[in-house]
Amino acid sequence: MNAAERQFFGFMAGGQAAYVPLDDVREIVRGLPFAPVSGGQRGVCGMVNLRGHVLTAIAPQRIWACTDMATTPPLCGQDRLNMIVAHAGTFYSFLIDRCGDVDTVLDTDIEPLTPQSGIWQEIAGGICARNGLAVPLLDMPRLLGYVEQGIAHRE
Amino acid sequence: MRIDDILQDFLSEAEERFSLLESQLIVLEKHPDDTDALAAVFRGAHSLKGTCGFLGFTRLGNLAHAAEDLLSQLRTGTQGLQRLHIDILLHALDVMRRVTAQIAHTGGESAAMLADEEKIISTLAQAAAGNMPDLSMRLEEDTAAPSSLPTVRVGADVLDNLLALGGELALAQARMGQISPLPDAGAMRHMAQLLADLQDEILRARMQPVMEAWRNLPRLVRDMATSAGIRARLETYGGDAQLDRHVLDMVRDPIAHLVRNCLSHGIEPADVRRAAGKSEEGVIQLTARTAEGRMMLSVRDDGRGLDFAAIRRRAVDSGMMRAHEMTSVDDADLAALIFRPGFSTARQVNDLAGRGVGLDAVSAQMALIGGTVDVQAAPGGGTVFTLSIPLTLAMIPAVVIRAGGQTFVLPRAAVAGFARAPRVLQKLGDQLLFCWRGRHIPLMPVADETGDEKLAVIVFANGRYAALHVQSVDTSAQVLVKPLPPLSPHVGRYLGVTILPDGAPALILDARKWAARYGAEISEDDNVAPPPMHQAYLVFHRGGQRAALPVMSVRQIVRVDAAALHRDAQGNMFWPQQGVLRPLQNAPALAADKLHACIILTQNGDAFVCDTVEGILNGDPAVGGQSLLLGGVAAEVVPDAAAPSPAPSGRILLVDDSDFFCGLLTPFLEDAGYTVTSVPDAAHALALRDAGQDFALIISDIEMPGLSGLDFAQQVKQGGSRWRSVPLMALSAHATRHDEKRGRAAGFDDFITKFDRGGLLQKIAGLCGRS
Repeated sequence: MNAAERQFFGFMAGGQAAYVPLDDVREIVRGLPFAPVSGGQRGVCGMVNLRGHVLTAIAPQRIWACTDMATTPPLCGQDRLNMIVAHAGTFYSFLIDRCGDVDTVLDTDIEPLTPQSGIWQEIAGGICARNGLAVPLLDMPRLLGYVEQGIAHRE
Repeated sequence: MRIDDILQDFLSEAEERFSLLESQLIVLEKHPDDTDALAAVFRGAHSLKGTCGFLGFTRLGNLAHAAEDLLSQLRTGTQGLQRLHIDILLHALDVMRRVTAQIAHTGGESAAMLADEEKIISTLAQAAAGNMPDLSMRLEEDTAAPSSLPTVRVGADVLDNLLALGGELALAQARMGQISPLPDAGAMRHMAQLLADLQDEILRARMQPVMEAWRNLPRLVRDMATSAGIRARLETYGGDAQLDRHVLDMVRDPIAHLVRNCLSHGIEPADVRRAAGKSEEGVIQLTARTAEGRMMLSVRDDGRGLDFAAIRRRAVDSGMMRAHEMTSVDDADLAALIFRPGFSTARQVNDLAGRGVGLDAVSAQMALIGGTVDVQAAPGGGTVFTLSIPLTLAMIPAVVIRAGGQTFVLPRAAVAGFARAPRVLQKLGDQLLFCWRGRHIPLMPVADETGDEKLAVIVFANGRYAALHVQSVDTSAQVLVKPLPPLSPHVGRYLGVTILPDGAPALILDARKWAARYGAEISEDDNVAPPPMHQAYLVFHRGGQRAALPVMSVRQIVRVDAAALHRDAQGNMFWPQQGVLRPLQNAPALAADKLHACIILTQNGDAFVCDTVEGILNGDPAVGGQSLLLGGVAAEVVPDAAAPSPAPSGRILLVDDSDFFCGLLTPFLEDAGYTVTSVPDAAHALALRDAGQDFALIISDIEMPGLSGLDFAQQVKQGGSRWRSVPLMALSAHATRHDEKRGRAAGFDDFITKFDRGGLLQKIAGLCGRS
């Protein structure tokens, strides 16, 4: 019996490679108009204008670096890449450093996260090995839930 | 709104209502115990009857009335809902559709009834009386009725997407404008104009002035007042505020219900009013305002107010409350009862009231759009119903501000004033305080990080004032309010988000929340004094004395080597500036041990010397004389009135009826070195001309009360006018090519948009130079 397979989109943010389910990714756009928002916690760093629709901008590097730095170099300028992700009918913009490839991952290749995985256990559904490195497979509902919890806590 | 438009609106709404009723009836057929669905169908029929009543569609109204009677019996449980009831009601809907189609075809109701019209009314009446009729009727085909309405209904999402794409196109156009050199500047201007027109048209399709929901009401008030034997008139205020078309459609019926309520319960007969010392004619006021971060629509009458005794009786009689509970119920709780389903104090059912459905329907409809309805009343003192609607999509006048390196938007209605914030601020605990109109109010940072904040924007809501510490006030504009995206932090601080002309999103501050959370209460009595002309002062020390200059008159402060200053035999002091000895005004003896001094250069060209500059503080000139309290300590105000008046080349006359805009533009021009005289209309401006006043430039709005800008231009430029050769600039929020052509023909020398600040200064410099 063949193992089920899933497709992921790879990206780099804050020096960390990560995979996000390909079905969740809508488009990659460079340099959308951006406005920072103060008070954002757990990755929320501002808003972008995607063809007249205002989306929440999330800096994933702030999530895995567990920092609330107001300005991170990739957030500024025309070189900023916006990975537009859809979840439950709502679009979000993830500000990333670099796009990777679309990769097919067999379910049997997905390894579980351990309790020692820290933040990754809260936002990823597992890891897979690529080029000798463990790449976290982001779980969008859990990741957004994690961001939302931070905001609720802050409010 | 033309009659055709009203008719089209009615037909569109009627078809929507029929479809909704149809689907609700089908739900009821499957779930006869669904009381919510039954109540919704009943409200739908009731609303349709009301609308038909004031549009004069008697036949359709009679059908709806008959359906409502049957539904009323079903709702109260007098009869159990059966499948046959649904059949009858669906047949009634079909007949209503055919009557509506006839109206669409002919533009009105004909006297001749359809063959099955009378029969279905009779059938409905029989059913309401508890006699289950034989439903053997067949609808006759009416080939004359058109099958479709001559309108195109487009989903709101399609319009939103068009709006968004229009904004994107403007952004792309702005980027093209940065290409240097421009390939064809004329074509670019033309494209910008076409884009602006396109965006306006799309917005017009999405947004509607609130007054569109009021158009039918004067007739309603007239007809219903006549019918009830009372005298009443309708007054409207703020109807030009724009609201999402969908939201406006949702509040159309509730407003009509509330106006009917004013007529049926509020306004007294003429003799009763006369006896109570009121005018014989009652007044119903409709007001729209965007204060407090929401659209507030109020319906106010000057009638008898709420009859709390009757409400108490009805509450007990209907079993809503027990008699012993009444002792602990206050008037506000009692007032809230009138929004309960089935509650009515009217003694008999008629066209105006009595079913207890109107206010129930209002409350239910408002809940659908996340709004609320509130009532305030006093016996004999009238009633005010207020619909509070979230601004999901609305155009509001706003001010764009910068703070902490970020751009924010503030609803203009919440702005009470602007002032320069002192460099040195008083701190009480963790709270910075700012002195405004003689009172201390909290000065709040807008963003988590701060930059070079130097201005204070005073916001006001619910009797409380707070000041926001900002870097600059950039522009004033109409902005489109959009809902906040999910996961936005500090949701409570903001009422929405907008997209600025450069494409960047900007948060809209909820001034009501800021003022309520941080603001200081200042009563109207405290607030009688207008802001002083010079509110902020530069405070400095010279020769052991504390002195002050209005900050607006300060152009530059220069730190100099004290040893470089020269003093002649008469004691006059000079400052060597670029090889020239410049006299210093009223030079005191500087402290002997001072190595450095400060030179303060004023807009008038004077130079003052001082030992140290303390900072910028707010003062209250009402303290009197040449002294005032600055930071709680007296300081001598250095007289600058003795200085020569500014050269005519720097005098600008600003003619604009908007206090707000004058308040924004005047300091901006003064900061650029001009002396500005502002007047609210052309008549005041011409009075200055007749009094012999001269200006280097006149800037005038186009749309003004009284004499328009165009007429004013003609009078300024006419032969023999003292100001015939003075350059005249038109200031407009949005001027089309046609407007510009008309303006130039009337005498304007140039045009500029109100919000192009950089362009404004360039053009002023050019025109003043020419002058």
